Amino acid sequence: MKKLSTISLVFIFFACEKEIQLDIANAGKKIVVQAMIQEGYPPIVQLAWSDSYFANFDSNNVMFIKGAEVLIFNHDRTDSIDLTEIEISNPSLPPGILPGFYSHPELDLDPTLLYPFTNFFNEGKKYHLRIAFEGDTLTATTSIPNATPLDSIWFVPDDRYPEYGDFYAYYNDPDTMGNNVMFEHKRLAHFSLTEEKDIPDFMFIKAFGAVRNDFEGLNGMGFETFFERGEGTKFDHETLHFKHPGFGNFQMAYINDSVGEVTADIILFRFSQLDKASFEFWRSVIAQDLMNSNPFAEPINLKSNINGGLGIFEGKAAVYYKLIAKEDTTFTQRYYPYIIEIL
Amino acid sequence: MKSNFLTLFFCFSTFLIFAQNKHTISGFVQEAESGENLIGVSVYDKASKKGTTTNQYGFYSLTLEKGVYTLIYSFIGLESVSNNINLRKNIKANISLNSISITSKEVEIVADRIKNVESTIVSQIKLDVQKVKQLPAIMGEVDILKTIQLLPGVQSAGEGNAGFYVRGGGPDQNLILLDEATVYNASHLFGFFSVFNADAIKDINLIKGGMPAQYGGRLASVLDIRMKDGNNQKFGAEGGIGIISSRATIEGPIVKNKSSFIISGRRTYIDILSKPFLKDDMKGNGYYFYDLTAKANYKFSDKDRLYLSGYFGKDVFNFSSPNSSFGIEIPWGNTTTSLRWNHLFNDKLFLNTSFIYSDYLFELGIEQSQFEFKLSTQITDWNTKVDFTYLPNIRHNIKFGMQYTYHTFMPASVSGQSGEVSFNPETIFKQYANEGSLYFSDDYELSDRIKINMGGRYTVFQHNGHVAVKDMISNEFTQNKEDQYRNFEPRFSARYSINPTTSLKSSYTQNYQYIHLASLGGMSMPMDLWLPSSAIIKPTKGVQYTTGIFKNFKDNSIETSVELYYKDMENLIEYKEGSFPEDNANGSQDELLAFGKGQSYGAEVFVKKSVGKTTGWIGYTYSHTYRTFPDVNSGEPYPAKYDRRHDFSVVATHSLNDKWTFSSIFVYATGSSITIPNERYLIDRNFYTEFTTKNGYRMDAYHRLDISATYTPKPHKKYKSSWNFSIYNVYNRLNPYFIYLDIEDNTPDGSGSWENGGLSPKASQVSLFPIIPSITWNFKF
Repeated sequence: MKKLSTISLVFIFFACEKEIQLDIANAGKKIVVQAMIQEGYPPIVQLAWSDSYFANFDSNNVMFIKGAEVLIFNHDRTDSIDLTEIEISNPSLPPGILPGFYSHPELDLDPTLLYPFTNFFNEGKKYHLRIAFEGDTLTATTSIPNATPLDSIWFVPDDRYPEYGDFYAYYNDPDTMGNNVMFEHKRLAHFSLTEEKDIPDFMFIKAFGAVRNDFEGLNGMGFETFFERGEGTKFDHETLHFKHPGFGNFQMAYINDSVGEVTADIILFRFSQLDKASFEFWRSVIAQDLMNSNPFAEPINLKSNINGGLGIFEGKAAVYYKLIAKEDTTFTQRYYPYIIEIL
Repeated sequence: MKSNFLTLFFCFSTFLIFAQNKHTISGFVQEAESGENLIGVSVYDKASKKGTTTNQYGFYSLTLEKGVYTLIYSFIGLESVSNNINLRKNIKANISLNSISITSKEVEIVADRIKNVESTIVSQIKLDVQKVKQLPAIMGEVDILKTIQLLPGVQSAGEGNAGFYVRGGGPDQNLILLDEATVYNASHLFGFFSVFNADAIKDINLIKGGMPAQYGGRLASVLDIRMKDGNNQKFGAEGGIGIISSRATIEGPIVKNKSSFIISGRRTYIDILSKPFLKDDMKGNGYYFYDLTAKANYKFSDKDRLYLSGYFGKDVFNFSSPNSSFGIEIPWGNTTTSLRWNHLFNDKLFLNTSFIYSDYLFELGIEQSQFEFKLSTQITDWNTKVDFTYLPNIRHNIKFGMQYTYHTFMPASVSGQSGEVSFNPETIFKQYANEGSLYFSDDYELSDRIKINMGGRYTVFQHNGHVAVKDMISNEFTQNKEDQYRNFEPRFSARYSINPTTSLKSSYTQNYQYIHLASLGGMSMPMDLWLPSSAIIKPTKGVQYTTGIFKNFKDNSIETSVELYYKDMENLIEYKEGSFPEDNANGSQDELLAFGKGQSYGAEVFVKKSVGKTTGWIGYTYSHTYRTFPDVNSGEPYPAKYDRRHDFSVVATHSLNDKWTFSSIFVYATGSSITIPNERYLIDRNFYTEFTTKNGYRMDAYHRLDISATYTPKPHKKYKSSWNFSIYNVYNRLNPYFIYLDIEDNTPDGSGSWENGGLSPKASQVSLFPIIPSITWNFKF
């Protein structure tokens, strides 16, 4: 579509282009929240400012919010956690965490603590978020659904590219409407053949098709699916149906005589149930990714559940699996990752 | 008993006596030189100015009291005929009108100029094809659709956009007919040219409001275009050679006075001309369109005549890059065929029966290396119409009839291949629908001052997968009731004559539309999808109120009108935010759509001078058009993408002498409303955009001046010719086509990133047509 939109003008050799200034009103700053809670793990809250669309890109311009008051209440507000701003220079924390990071006070003290980190968050319960900063108060509500594990996950090598393959999963959707699921993964270990070095992912990747719900004719059904590798950290649709080496696939274990034995990709896979607001948020994220600056696309804003701000407060009923990209391997056992593996 | 019988006999005898006091004069009016039947000829009694007009087939019927009359036959551009008759019995009078011989063109065509005051149809405008041909034309291509967009209440979709908007209605709400066949996409080259070759066109009639009952299926307007029949007297040819396209028309008798044909063709050669100018990485580009219009007719007798017309047109865009294996091909086009039979039962009852085929297909094909992708969308109609016109007396003009259409839709069919992996749908997803209607209307002169048009249309629509005709008949529309719709559409308009040159008119129109165009984003592209009403997609309903004052000045040489309108629409459709039609390719699009309401209101001012050396018009429209969709813009009202606060146009033509005619057009319109980014923010280390409210930003206003000069040298012995010199967009205004956004890397080594800086977003405006001169040589044998 992007190529079409560009090329459709090419033949009209009269077409002219000029840079313009858009007179945008009300491009003020809003607080952006990306917050996640799950049973047994510390909350993860990231706060930053939005900026005018036409401000220059610079990490200094993406102002992360420090010194905010962040609280999470239980369903009837009889209990709460007062989150602390985490010092990201702590060497025990994994790389890639941005400033403006708030979490459980004990995480600041010792990020190497194991699961279960806290008993505050439980599946089937509702939680409320409140953020206060410079006179503004933001609120949001989410719930953590009940987790549903996958039946099994297995690795299938690619016929055309023997060093690579995909993971397939079998899922039985509960016989109740309103189940929203999300597939995410991060490579805990990946030896790049082209760069000959270890390049694990520092964030979870949500590839194309990662967010689904049972309104799409899946309610109560068991089905087999696979999840795409994706590019970088964005939802990526370009791999739909068409595979390329090293892109859309996971690197399988094999022995390369010139460099010695190569470790297979080791993947931390997260399969989550989401509430409706979280599902709609991530669906709108996919839609914006697919828009890809196409002037012919229907613009869509991200569907936020933050009152007074932007972003998402989501409860994830997450089930983790630790996978190895190895032929003839099936995984059924649930994995409980270390805290630093999911940050 | 005896007395009742006598009373009845006396009444019947009295009726007979009175009936015997009226007689009918009827016949056909044609142009003398070509034998073309003329539409809309005024036939009236000189003394009382009362009369009628010829219908779409040139037929007229006038019933008057016994007596002596002077009947005037009058048509714009032709010499009027005066006919003295002694009406003692029914008379058949076929009349021929000659071309005007005097150069000043100051002819008595009062009857044409009072039509705007006299007619009950409130918002109707007829265009003179010859006048249209004199207007400046981009690249020399005379364009009927571009001309109607100069009229108040009709808005352009913008350069590069197909379609037009009438009183806040979408491009799918205009019923475009070519010899009764529906044309679904009436544009070539993304709206640059229309599919109508003016050389083959006889009549152009636009109805914006107060839609008569014989028309239906669309909410906003009817553009009824009639082709020429072909010269049944002698052979002839005409055409033009322009800088990017050429056209030719040949016509002539098959059997003199009985049968004739006309064939018109056009092709552009942009693809050939552009090749030397394209940069290396653009080599392989190509675009062309062609269209062919053909018609034949045969007059069996004064009572029966058969017409066969067809249109075949195609646009093809090709791009292939020699530097990579990437290629794209986009063909799209319309095909229409109509077979019509006129039958005259008697002096007062006229019948037209039509059998029509109409098809629109759009395809998109992309290939790169071993990857192929193809998207197709199509709509096909088989249609039959039976239309009666009954003229019992001078006070009534009764129309009634029925129509039936069998629709086949292929909304979005996708297939693809990558290496050995192929993706082909097992079955092509198609939808079928049956649409039928019965209508009745009477144009009734209640008194000398009051004339009304009352009518109604009863419509049915059934969408139910594949339905055979026999199943539909046997089921009597009872199967799967959720997909069936039945509606009554009342139509009413009235005219009150204040004096011979002033009238007030009002109308009430209710319409239902059962097929819809789903458009992507802010564009009206040839790839937009036609969808039927279904259990999910309800028929769109429109109610329009119109009122206006119509007044002529200076012996009816200046026509003016001020009209107000208000329109309410329900069950409008749009794609949901963030959706793409390929999401549900090979399946139903229904789940991708959002439904809502719309309101549109405005005022239109029109001043037209049609007599004299200088002619033309000024049109101004002030309007508001809003939409409210629960699933769009958080349910808040937002301006429709074609909400134009002000729309202004001036059209002027001046005949300096026999040789030179000058024309100019100036248009101004408020900019289109679009949705643009407002803010950005980080989610998962990626930037996302917060947009303005839907259509919350206005692009710059659109305005443009075109001029043209036509030089007509002394006619050669065997042919006539003229040279047309045009300049489109004289002051080179870069009118916005669309705005797109990009991220510019300001670093010298291209290492800009959001972490390290060096990136800045920018907005760019793309404009399509700067100043464009053109020369066209026109010829006629």
